[in-house]
Amino acid sequence: MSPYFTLFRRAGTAALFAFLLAPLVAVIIVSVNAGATPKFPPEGFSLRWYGAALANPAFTGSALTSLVLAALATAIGTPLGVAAAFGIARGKMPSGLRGLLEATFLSPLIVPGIVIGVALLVTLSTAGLRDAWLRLTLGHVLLVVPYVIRTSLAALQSFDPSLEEAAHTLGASRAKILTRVTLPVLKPAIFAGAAFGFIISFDDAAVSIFLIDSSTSTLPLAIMSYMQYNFDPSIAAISSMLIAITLAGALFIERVFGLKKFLGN
Amino acid sequence: MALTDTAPPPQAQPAPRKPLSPAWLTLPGLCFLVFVLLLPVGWLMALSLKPSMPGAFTMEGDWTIANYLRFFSQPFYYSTLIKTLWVSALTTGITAVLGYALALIIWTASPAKRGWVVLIVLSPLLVSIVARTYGWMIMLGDRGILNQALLGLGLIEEPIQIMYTAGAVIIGLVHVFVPFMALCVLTSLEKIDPKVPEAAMTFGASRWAVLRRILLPLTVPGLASGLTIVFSLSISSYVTPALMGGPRSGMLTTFIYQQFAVTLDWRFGAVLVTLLLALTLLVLTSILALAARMTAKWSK
Amino acid sequence: MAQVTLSRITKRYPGSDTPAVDDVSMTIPKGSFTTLLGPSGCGKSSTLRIVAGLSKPDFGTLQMDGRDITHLSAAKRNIGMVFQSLALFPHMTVAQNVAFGLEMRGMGRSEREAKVARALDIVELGHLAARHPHQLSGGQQQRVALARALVVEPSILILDEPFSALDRKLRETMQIELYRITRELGITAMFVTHDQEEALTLSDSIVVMNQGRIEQQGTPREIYGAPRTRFTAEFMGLSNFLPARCSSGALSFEGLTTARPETLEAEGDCTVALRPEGLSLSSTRPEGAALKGHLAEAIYQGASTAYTLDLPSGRRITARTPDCGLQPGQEAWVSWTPGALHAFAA
Repeated sequence: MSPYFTLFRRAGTAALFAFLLAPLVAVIIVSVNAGATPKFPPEGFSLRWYGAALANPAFTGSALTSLVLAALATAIGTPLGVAAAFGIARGKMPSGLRGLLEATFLSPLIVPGIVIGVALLVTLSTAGLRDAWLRLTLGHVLLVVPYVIRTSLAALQSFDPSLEEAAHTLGASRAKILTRVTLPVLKPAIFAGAAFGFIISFDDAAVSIFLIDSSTSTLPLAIMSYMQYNFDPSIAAISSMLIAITLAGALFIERVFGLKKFLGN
Repeated sequence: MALTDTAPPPQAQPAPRKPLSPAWLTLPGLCFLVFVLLLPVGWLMALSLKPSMPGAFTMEGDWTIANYLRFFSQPFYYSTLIKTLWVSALTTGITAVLGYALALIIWTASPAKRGWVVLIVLSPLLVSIVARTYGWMIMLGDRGILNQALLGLGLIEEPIQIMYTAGAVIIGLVHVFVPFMALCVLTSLEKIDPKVPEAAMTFGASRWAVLRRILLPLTVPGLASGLTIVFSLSISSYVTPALMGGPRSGMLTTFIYQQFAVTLDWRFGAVLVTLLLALTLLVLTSILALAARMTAKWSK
Repeated sequence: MAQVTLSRITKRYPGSDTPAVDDVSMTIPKGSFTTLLGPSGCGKSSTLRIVAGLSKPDFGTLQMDGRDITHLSAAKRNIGMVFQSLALFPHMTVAQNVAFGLEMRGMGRSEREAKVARALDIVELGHLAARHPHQLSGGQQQRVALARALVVEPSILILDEPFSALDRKLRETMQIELYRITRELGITAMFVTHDQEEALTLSDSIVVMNQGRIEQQGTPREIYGAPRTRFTAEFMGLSNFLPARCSSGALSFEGLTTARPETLEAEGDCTVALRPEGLSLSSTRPEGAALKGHLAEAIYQGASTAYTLDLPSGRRITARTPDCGLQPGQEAWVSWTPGALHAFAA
């Protein structure tokens, strides 16, 4: 392709990339700093802060909570989302209703996380439900569902109906068509949506901030509250570990489905 | 077999039971959404019409708009709305420019480099929000990398305060929202026949003319969805303003946190929630409507 | 209008072992319609993009009326180009599309409008000036693309397989129209196609390309009537290739010796090709040169029937003639009109 914007690119590309990567690189460099403060340039190489982060029960306990919570929310949200996507794509209904349903199911994406958290806190408190795990699970399922719906719906809309017709002419029952043809074809999309929902849930702070209690916290919130009183590189160490985990997850999704597809519109 | 008058008429094959319409599959999800999102949000909005009473989250009391009047009569309150708007607008504007440039960089990259460029552009999204923010704190703090570099170069004599200002919030938000913008614009760019800008060049268009006359108008849909996404994400962002703007960042979301977690004036806090939602919807619909008008003539 | 000369143009794309364009030299005379003809990947489109200025050659020079334009950007070459995908600007009306090139040349509004109106008249689209491209039929879009390229009064009109997306009937109509317009306006044109009939219809000169090189260049009559290589022969619809030997004045193949065609320059081993449409079959031995064979297949194709004949050497030839009543299994003689036999080296 001929370079339309050579000049533009030469001047700006390096600066833009530096802007995008700077904080990530800074975190990783500081995480291996031997000193007790996040100094730059670092005062020698050490992995001691990784040890410190892993030995901090506030981090390990909340990391476990976050993992279990994300897994739970994904396990509940995925079937809900897939079923809804089927209903929207396959149900006979006027197109206006279809649009409304789709918008409703994607609405958690435009409602600010902090509003979701506050609204849940207020209603559940009114109903006398004050269990942190219940609140967190409900809130995080809400985070997962739109991503599953988005990828499943896209896959269903590009699904070639003659595949099912072919299976039907070969004698497959409705149930067999679903389990042997339709779901396997949709599997990568469903899986990608679920994986993305998992990451979103794991990384969430805005929804959870009102739903945790004194004994149950998620990892991002535990780090945030640690940051209020400490600035030592153990935060950089745990952040670096998170970068590694999310990067691995993202590369995995990219392999299965292609990241761009659901980060796009 | 003898036929009698009472013999039942030959039974037709029982019609196969009509399967339920797949539309019913939306029901469980819909119920969940109604009970966990729509009703709670509705409840909260209704709560904003009850007299302010710290600690109270029930529906007792008369209906009143006193909370709204209070919000709009005190500069301390309504300034959060104004600040949220201009910080979001500035964030969106800067993001649009940088995101457009990045989209063009991806679009024109050779296939071999493209994967790497996409990875770099997406990198802010692939990193935990807390890690990202911590990185910016290291970069922008009073003794951060940027200040040390500027001091070292002799460009400044005193460290400049960047952290805990609106500027820091904008930098943090632009950084994480730029990938969304780039991807939205890229989606539009990829719909353009690559021969179209080439054609413009063969007819004598300069690079600038190609950008202004061909690419920009053709990417209005992508740009519009990018603007709506980034603007709504900006006004609803909480973690970045809370960490980078300091405790008194003066944004609507941090103010909401304060009302619900510190002041415990939930009914007044509900006013802020309602305003935030109304603002989001207003901006979303107006940007989308504007884009639809601009492209109505030529988009199929 | 201008004369365009390519000298030793070479272009290699990164990651490819063989050059896409390999040492190509040619001249497109002023006012001539020259077609680059060849299969996909033969380098014809790459050559055209180099002439247009959309890609730069690794080696070689390009001249327009004697001026070196090798390093001039596409925007400054004063060309008019019609793309395979048409590349109409979807967000502009027909009139705006056509006016674009004039606008880029800084032409004033009133002059521009007059020229656009005239160009749209030439392609008979004056009444659709306010439409957007997606509201037009394929043929109408084609005319807009042509008008847009013509209106700038280009030094050379460049057309990259412009009709490949059209159905057969529309394609023929557009070919005739393009022929008429280019000849009326005396335009220098460079056309790229893989369709030999289209090339024969439109061109003053045809350049057959293969693997980045020029295989043969000549008038349509020369290319069709006297292919000099097996590749050109095959591409121009010849088949029935038979090994032959050529010695002074005589050509022998399949046990037959005939007079040597004038166009053959080689000595020794060569190849004979027989155009299937120029062959005729009979059950008895005809006068003059003929080959005897065993009729293996007869496939009815409407206007003609395709007969496959097994020769005693084991080779097969195909004849396409009106139905002559012969049945598979019979012995038959095949003879040919003088123009149906071609011979070339190896």
